[in-house]
Amino acid sequence: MKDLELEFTKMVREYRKTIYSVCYFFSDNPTEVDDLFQEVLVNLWKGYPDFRNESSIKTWIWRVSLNTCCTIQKRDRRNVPTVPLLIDKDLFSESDQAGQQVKMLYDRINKLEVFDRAIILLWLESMSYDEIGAIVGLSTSAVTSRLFRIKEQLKSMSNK
Amino acid sequence: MKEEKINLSELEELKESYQIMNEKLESQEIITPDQIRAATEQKVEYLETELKTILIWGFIVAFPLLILFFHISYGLSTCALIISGAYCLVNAVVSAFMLRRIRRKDMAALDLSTLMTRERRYRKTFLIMLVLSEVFWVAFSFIFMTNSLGIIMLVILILMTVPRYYHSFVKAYKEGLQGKIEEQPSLLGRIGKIVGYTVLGIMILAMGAFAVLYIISFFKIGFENIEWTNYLNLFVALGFTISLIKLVFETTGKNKGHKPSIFTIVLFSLTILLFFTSNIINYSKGVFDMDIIFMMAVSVMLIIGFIRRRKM
Repeated sequence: MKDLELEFTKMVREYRKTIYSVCYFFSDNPTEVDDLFQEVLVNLWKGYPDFRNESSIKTWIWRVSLNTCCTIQKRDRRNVPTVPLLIDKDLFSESDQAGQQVKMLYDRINKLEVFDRAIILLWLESMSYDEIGAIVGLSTSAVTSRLFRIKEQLKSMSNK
Repeated sequence: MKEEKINLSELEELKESYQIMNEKLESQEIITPDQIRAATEQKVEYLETELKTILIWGFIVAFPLLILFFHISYGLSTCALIISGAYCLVNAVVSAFMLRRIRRKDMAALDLSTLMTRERRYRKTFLIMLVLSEVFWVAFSFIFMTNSLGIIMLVILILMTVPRYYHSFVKAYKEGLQGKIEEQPSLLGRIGKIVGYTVLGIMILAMGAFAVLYIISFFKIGFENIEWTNYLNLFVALGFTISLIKLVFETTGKNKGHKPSIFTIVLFSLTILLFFTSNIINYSKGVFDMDIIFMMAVSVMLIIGFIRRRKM
């Protein structure tokens, strides 16, 4: 049990950026990000003993993170116990150009539907269409056409 | 061609921004090993407590107590007791099954679209269960108890239903096709939504009409002939109506959240309090029947349910 826990902790630490990115794009405020992050942790922990390396650990973490963030119900998080994450809350502030770029990315992705948000995040992660399809449950051709539509949507947002 | 190039570079820019974000995150610790353990344990504990609370209080304590109360007050027949017992049992089993399934199962094994389809199916089953429950309680009250209690039950259930259904309808409306794999919603889906909104609209209108008719009746009877406790009832009717209307605006407003605000909760609670006060005064004046006690008990449950829903 102890070994499993150590392995799990190591894995979470290694993929913390992935989990955080997903939670970041699926939430409205920092407290919600913390809460979502912990929801993902619980699901990862519950599924970890059954993880059989049938897919890569990266794909598995993406899948669990997206599944959690897409299906979780909106709720009042004030009464839910949350451990605050160790992250600079002004990390993506618009004070510099990099921050502005991240904010622009967030704003655009946040306007997409939940399912499209998941697909575009996987695309941004430079995953192949096959991998995206396996995670979201669409055929490669369906991913292609869906991504085309999402990109068009993103382009139209930038034209506005 | 030129425009296409600009657009493509914009998409590249998005990728670049994502890269920047990852680089920024690289420097952040985000979570320590101790926090991982604490966060996971805390969350699991919380979710399990929440599930147990609903099951234990809802189905093991509240329902049987309610039935016992009915039995004492109305002398339920054996048939009614068996039916209500069976209802509690079925409800408890289905709820336990659904709550467990919705939560965590298959989170990693299923792909996203299958998971979302299942999630929607569970939510739908939950709503169907809710409707069936309400029909059951109303029919039960009419058949095994008194007609007046049946009507009271109907009103109370409508009141309880509005926030719950409202949340689901607004969510469905706001999400639109969110998570749906189909390009267009099915005809049945669209009809379902229209029916949903219509039912909701009728409920709110009915509450509003109730308040207005109540006020009109004051004029008709003449204010001098009205007991002052009836004025309290007027505020009760207004309070219910305002809190309902507020609930609608709060959850549909462009920049508002999905949840009722503290103001609405307070207003709703004060209305219930007023309702209690009015009935206690009536009781002290000798105007009393068992229905009042029953309504009070249900009102308490209504408040708890309302606040719990906000926490969920």
